[in-house]
Amino acid sequence: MIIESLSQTKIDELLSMQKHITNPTARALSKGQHQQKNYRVVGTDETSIVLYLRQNNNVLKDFSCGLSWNTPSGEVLTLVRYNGPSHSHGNAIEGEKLGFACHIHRVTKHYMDAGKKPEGYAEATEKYETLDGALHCLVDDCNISGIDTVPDHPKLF
Amino acid sequence: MTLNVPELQERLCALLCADVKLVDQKNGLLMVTMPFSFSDGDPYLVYVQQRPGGVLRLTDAGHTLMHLSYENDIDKFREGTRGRLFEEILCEQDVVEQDGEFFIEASPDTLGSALFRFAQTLTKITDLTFLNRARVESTFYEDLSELLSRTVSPDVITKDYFYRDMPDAEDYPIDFRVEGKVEPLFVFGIPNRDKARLATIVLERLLRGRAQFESVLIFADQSSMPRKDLARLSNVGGEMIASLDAEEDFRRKITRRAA
Repeated sequence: MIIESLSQTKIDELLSMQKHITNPTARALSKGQHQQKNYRVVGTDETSIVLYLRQNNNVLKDFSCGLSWNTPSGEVLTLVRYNGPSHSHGNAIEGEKLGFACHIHRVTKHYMDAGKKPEGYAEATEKYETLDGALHCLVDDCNISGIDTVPDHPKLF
Repeated sequence: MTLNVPELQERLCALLCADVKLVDQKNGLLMVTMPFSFSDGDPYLVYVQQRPGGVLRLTDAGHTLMHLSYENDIDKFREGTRGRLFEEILCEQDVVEQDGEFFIEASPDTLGSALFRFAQTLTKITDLTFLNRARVESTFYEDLSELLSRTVSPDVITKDYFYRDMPDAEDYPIDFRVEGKVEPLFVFGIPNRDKARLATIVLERLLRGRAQFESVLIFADQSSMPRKDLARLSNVGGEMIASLDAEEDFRRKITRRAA
């Protein structure tokens, strides 16, 4: 399958379908300056997805967790990615910068059709502040079961 | 030329400067914001760190490889062709890689040019992802198709052929059928082990179905093929060509058989 031919319907289906983690005891690996953990995720139609977590050892705000789909043709497509506030993401088509805020990348048809990176569009969010909080939001938003997650505490003041 | 060059220069410098800012991270690092980004819109993360003797270090604090690890196995960047290119890219601009961190050192007077060299290096490192397996395989089949079309008339080539005289023909794809002098010539491109195994199954099925044909197998890199997969394939296949670089051998073996 060529990624560019994906429909918005298929994208929505991949995100919303029930998914389950098959290796919940996956361990974090040290890769130089960051820690990484990869969970294998299977969808209802045997779709193969990776849920990845990354944390920079030197900059706490530099973290990421996302879902990448291993397409039948061997390509890798990032479906969503929940980033920390270490940088100011820029939406190329809209010509806007999000500032130093947590933000969520999503694959969109209009970025694919414009020849941009499919997950090039992102929106700022206040739903989480840490990697654990981002993971909680991701599994909740994308219908993933198999691991326990903890939300970041809501701001009371 | 009608441009006001001094005015344009002043404007250009002002615009470039507007995009470059220092943001104190309160951990001994000053982030340098600048107009360079990954293809997904996230900017390169570059920090200035004070070192002994007045030296300033521009560092990515490990972010670049972390970012590339989202869709790539970053260990493979240090292996084979990619590993050689990786080292060449770093040497070109005197950038150092240490335990996953890229950095370059400069004085206050050379910081500007060091910043551009550093950003250029991060871009080239990022572009190594174009050498991932799916893209390389796609290029191999395109190159094979082009080479075949230059070797014989396109009129005698059928791409993605199925031998209809056996059941379930579409389960046994043949990359190219070339009209032959005596028998048709079936051409298979073999970019990896999986395709070697598939081609073995297809050829075995054709032989069992008593199909009359000759075959030529072209590898992306025959030397990287596991021995047992190569042995099985050579038992059922015809002529083999080690890589697309062996263009003369390719022409000789194809034109000897093609109509």
